Amino acid sequence: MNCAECKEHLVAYVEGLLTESQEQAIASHLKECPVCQDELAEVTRLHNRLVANGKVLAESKLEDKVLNRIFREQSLKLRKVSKLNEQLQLWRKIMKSRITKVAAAAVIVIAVVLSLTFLEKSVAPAYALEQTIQANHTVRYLHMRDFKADKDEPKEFWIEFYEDGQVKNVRMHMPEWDAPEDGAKVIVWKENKAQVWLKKKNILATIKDKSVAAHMLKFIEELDPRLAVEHLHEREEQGKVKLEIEEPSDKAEPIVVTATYLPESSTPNRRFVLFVDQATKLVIAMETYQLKDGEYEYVGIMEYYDYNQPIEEKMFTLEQVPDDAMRIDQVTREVGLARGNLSDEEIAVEVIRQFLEALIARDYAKASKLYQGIPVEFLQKQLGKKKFVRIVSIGKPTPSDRNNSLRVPCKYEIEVDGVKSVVQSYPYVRPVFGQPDRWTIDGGI
Amino acid sequence: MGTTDKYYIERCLDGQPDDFRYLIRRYQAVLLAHLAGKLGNRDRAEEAAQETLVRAYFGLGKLKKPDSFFSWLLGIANRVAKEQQRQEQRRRQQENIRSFSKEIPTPELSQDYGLEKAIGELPDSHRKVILLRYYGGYSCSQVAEQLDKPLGTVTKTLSRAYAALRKSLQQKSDRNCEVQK
Repeated sequence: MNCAECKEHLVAYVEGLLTESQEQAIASHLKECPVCQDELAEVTRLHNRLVANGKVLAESKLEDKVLNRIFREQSLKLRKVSKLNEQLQLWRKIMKSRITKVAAAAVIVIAVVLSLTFLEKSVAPAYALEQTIQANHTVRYLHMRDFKADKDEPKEFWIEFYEDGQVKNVRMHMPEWDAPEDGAKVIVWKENKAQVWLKKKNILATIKDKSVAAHMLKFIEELDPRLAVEHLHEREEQGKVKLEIEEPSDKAEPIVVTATYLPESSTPNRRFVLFVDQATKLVIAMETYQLKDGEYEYVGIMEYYDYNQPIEEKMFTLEQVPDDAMRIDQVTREVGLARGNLSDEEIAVEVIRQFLEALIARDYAKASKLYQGIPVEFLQKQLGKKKFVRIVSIGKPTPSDRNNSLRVPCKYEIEVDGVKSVVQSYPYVRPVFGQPDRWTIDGGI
Repeated sequence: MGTTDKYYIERCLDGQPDDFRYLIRRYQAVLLAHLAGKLGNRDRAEEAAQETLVRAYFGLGKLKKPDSFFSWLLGIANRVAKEQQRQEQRRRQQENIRSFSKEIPTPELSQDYGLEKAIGELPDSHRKVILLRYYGGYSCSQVAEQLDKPLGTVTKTLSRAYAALRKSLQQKSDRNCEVQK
């Protein structure tokens, strides 16, 4: 082997790419040739330098920084196209991933870094929450979806407001996961009257009650972006919430408001991230996070659509309920039994006694009135085959968690196909919604 | 080589952005080496590498051949580097006007800036081999596979790249010596 050949193969030699015979040839030439030995030293030095530099650079901590930026920008990009369902599904999938945990914690840091980067170009943020509060004063119609991190199907709401911002009409689609015992349901709230359609049970209930109304309004308040923003604004002034506002210079991108509840607030550990449209100052979406083990964990996202797109009147009715649904109407029909001077326990016992007596007398109209007003035909169909013979005993009622009701143990004798038997049951009895002086059976017969 | 770039790219496109971290791990040193040479400063190289990776992530859907992720990534890095250089120029011009100072303090150089700069000056084909081999953690046969070339070609390219690097580094140290004299 001569020097030229040797030099040509030195890199491959250092890299260990040569065959055994080639290596031996080089090794024996090197023994003889000091020039090539120097050359080898040079090549080795460069090799080591490359390897060392590669190691140093490999130790860089680019990973979290890049992933955080990706998360951040993804969030902004997807806000812009938030109406494309496919994108949203992808987004929600992303939100369930681990990246969000790191990213949520780093959102603030990045917001600060971004604002530094943009410092040259932009003046101090012009946006303030008041603008969103102001903008919301003109909102009459709103459609929204409430997604939870671990659920695919969202809750969905349509709301119509009066001019003064009070709630006028509401339609809600509640998925099964919200209340598995009820199944999926549609609720319509109109003129202080609630109608609930339990799809699985095929029951349509009409309820008018102050406590239901109050509960309902409170629920809607939590959905209303105007109230949410007003609440945050108030808490900020009280020093209970820290607000960070990031206003991109690109007007197509939303303003991002990060609201973190401070330890001195009554509900610490929460964080909301609001995405506000730059042109209208309306909230496009609001993410919720909960502090857990030192990290803000993504809880869910509320998306707001169709601001001031009039909602058809029929959305606030339950026209599409099937004809064969069991209709329970507690508004136009008086149900239950007046309590008079009786105590809770006494009236509960009395309701059960009268109900059983009505069944013995086959007076299904009376029985229906005592049982929330469920349809007479339904009672007849369910209980008509059984012959109620006599009441054996009615025991002392015990309190129950279900709708503030009392459980009344009772025994009665029935006859089915000529066979007599004694049945023991524990029906629930409670005040009628909206008519607190009247008591009704709530179920359990 | 384990899992291919293509696999991770598909995972990312399917809404699993966490998997992008593996691509970041795989190519961060490559990008840094490539960009440090071009930009002459570790901080700026890092900034550009971040920007490159972020752009790459959002461009994944447009990448037609996932197998050529590496070359595509370098292309993005080149564009980012150019943009940064232009920005930096503008900034300096403005600073010059403001302060009337002629000299801008030399930015802090990265650990082996001389080497990175020399790599930055290599022809494209040589640079790719060096980057993959020493910064991407590839063996020579993996480099061959990645670049879709025979191992012999890669070995020769590597040999030439070494020669070019040595020459370039030699010239630099000569220049430094002259300056010191």
